[in-house]
Amino acid sequence: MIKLKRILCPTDFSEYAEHALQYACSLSEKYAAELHLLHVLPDPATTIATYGPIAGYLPDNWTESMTEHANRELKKIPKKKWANQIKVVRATTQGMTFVEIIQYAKEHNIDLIVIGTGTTLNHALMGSVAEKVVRKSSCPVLLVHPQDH
Amino acid sequence: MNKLKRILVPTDFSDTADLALRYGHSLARQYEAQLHLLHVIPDPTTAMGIYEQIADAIPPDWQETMLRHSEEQLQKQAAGVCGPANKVIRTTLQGDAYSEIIRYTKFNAIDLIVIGTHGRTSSVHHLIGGLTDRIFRKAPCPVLTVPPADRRFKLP
Repeated sequence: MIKLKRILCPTDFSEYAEHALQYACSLSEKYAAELHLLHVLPDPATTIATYGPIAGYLPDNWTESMTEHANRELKKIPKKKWANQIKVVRATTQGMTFVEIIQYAKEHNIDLIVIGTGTTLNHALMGSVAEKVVRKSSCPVLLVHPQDH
Repeated sequence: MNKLKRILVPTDFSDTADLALRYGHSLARQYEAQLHLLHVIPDPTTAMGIYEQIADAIPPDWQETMLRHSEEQLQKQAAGVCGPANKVIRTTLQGDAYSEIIRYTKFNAIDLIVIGTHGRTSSVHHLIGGLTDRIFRKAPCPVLTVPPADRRFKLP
């Protein structure tokens, strides 16, 4: 009755995202679901607007090199014991994190989003992202807090 | 995640709570976990404190009636979603929903809370919505939020 065919786990490669990934992997294995790993790169325009003075320092190939880096990092997860059991799809997009997550979920008919929340500086970023995702998502969202929450 | 032993579904008997229970039931089966269904009835003294005028209008057997009603509803919901021979652990508590849910979670070492994002009627929409907000911020365990079945992805 409950269908979980595609599970989305957005990651910023933090320990909090890694913690959430454990849940996403376990659920993907139990439900024989496809696991989608998504990393969202910030838009350089946003970075420039916020940090005008550093605009000149952003290399021309910023997006390309960041995408390459993200793709390399994505290939390292999840751990082998999971990667051998689950079908994993990896993607990197660019824009506002929560918008990209919702967009991706919509386009790929995602049945469940698993997202980590943090307590340090990332909390301000991923924490609020998680709340926005819950508000905008039409599918269930599993929020995974840090272990010592 | 291997330690997913106890799953809690707080309920207000709404359609969204039914859906949340369906997810909870499915997960409980996959992980061979215990499934807990909890309803919190408001404390009448809170209502009386705010609306002293109506204190007399609250029947003396209010509590027993509410309790009995809750037990019936819990049984009906559990049977409806999980089948007549279910092993759902049903509990009714009284007080502030948020505090009681968190207290229950800690006391029973719950590993996962599954909760609907929208309540029964539009008038409690904000109460329940706000409740889910507070639960997912403060819960000591992961929280699975389940939106109503007719919800569509909203792009800002």
